[in-house]
Amino acid sequence: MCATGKRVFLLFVLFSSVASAQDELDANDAPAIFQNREHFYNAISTGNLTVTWSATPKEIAADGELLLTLSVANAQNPQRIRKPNLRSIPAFAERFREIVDVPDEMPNAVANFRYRLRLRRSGEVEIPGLRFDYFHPNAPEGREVNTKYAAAISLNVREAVVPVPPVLPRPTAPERFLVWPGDISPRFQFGGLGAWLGALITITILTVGWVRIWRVRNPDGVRLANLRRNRAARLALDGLARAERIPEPAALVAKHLRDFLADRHDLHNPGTVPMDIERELRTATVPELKIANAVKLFRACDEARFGYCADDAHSLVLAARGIILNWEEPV
Amino acid sequence: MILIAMFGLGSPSDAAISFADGRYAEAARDLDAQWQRGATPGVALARARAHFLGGNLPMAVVALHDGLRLAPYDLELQTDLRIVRDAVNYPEPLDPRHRLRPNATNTLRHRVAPFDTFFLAVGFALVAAFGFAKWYTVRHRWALLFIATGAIGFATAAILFARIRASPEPLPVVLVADTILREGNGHTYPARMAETLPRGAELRELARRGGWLQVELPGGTVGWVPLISVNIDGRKSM
Repeated sequence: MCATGKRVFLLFVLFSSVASAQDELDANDAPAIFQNREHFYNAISTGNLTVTWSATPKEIAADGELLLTLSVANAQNPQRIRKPNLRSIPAFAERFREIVDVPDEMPNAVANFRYRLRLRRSGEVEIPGLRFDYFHPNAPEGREVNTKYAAAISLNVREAVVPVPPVLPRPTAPERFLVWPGDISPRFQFGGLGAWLGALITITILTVGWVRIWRVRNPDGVRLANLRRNRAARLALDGLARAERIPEPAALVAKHLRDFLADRHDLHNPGTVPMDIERELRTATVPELKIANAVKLFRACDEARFGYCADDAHSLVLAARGIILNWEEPV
Repeated sequence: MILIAMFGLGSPSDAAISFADGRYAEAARDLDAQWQRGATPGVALARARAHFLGGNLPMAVVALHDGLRLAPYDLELQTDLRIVRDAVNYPEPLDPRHRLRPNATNTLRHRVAPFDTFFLAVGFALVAAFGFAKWYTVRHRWALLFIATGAIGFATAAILFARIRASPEPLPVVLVADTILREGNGHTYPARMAETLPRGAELRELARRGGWLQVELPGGTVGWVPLISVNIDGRKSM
């Protein structure tokens, strides 16, 4: 009872699905029950259907393209025939490395399905035959589906043409190119870290050597250098050097000597008169002999400025320089 | 050959003999091997001339660029590169972005050699040392000017040296055959420009993908060329 019920249900489902599929098809389509058959492409004919291959060109190079056309004539429904999918047919897939659908042509009652193909190999190649089933509406029941074949066609496939690059004319070489460049052996290149270090070390050694030699040749120079490290002495000596180049340097000599003494002994107001300077120096406990020498020079400067004086500019500068250079010496 | 032996190499190498006998392709092969063993500007120059005379224009360009990477200041290499570039059949496109002729080699590193800056630095260091010695011994004020001039000059020369030596220019890729510049990495992509890229053209490599090379033209246009149409392998990496 139960098994019979299942059979009835399955029959119902089958008929209802066929009926609904038939509803989607129109009058120019074959019955839905045949639509999913292999090699069936929805063609309807009363028996005189023809299916043919045509290829353009017939002779091609291995790397060339081929236009293949499947023509289906004498079908009642050429517009409703489905295009065969050659990519899914093994005989085509193994012969052609590229199968591209090209827009079809449907003139009058003939359906032309077009493909662009690229071959896998050269030599004798055959386009395989194609089985093409169609629906015969007037055939007795159970023999409605008939079969036609598109006959195989042969192609002559040449070897791929490898383009030979044109022979290029040799460029005219200038004279300099005909000359061997001379020395091509490796050369020492300056500029490495070693060269920089070497140069710096050499320069340092040269500088230190120069200073040492200078000190040997100028033993008094060390004392002079030490003295010049004192800012007051350096300024005074530079000022005296400038004073030497002017015609009446007495005022400038006195000024630089006074500035030096003020700086050296921290005299806040040394004054401009020799007596004032003498008093200030005594207050700073400077030895008497040094005070006497300095005051004597200030007086000589005053005499040179305001009265008759036999001392020339050069002697005043020299005397001032001597006082400054010997100021630090013990009495 | 005797002249080469007397004034050139001392003992003429196989390459020099081949070159002197007019067997330029053979000389170029020998010089390629010599370049791998020891790269010098002289080898690069000889290599470029042998390739050029042997008809291998792209390799002549490659050899000159190899040499200029080693010695960008070398005037002989610069002159030869200019001559070799003139032999390349560069088109003159209307769009400046499609310009293929490379820029002239006139950057700082092409004008000043590292050892020039080295000697300049040594000269300024000597001036500074002289000023220092004078200042240390006799405390003359003008010595300070020498010290300052020498120190500034030394620092400038050292910076110049570092800039010249640092980050050499990347080597261009050189086409070995006339090639179409495409918009993508495949033959199905359309051409980027009407003109084909000539054999010996120099391009800047941007990327590689699937046997294709993304390149930039001197004019700025970017496109793709097949890897097989470009000389990359066989070059000594510097």
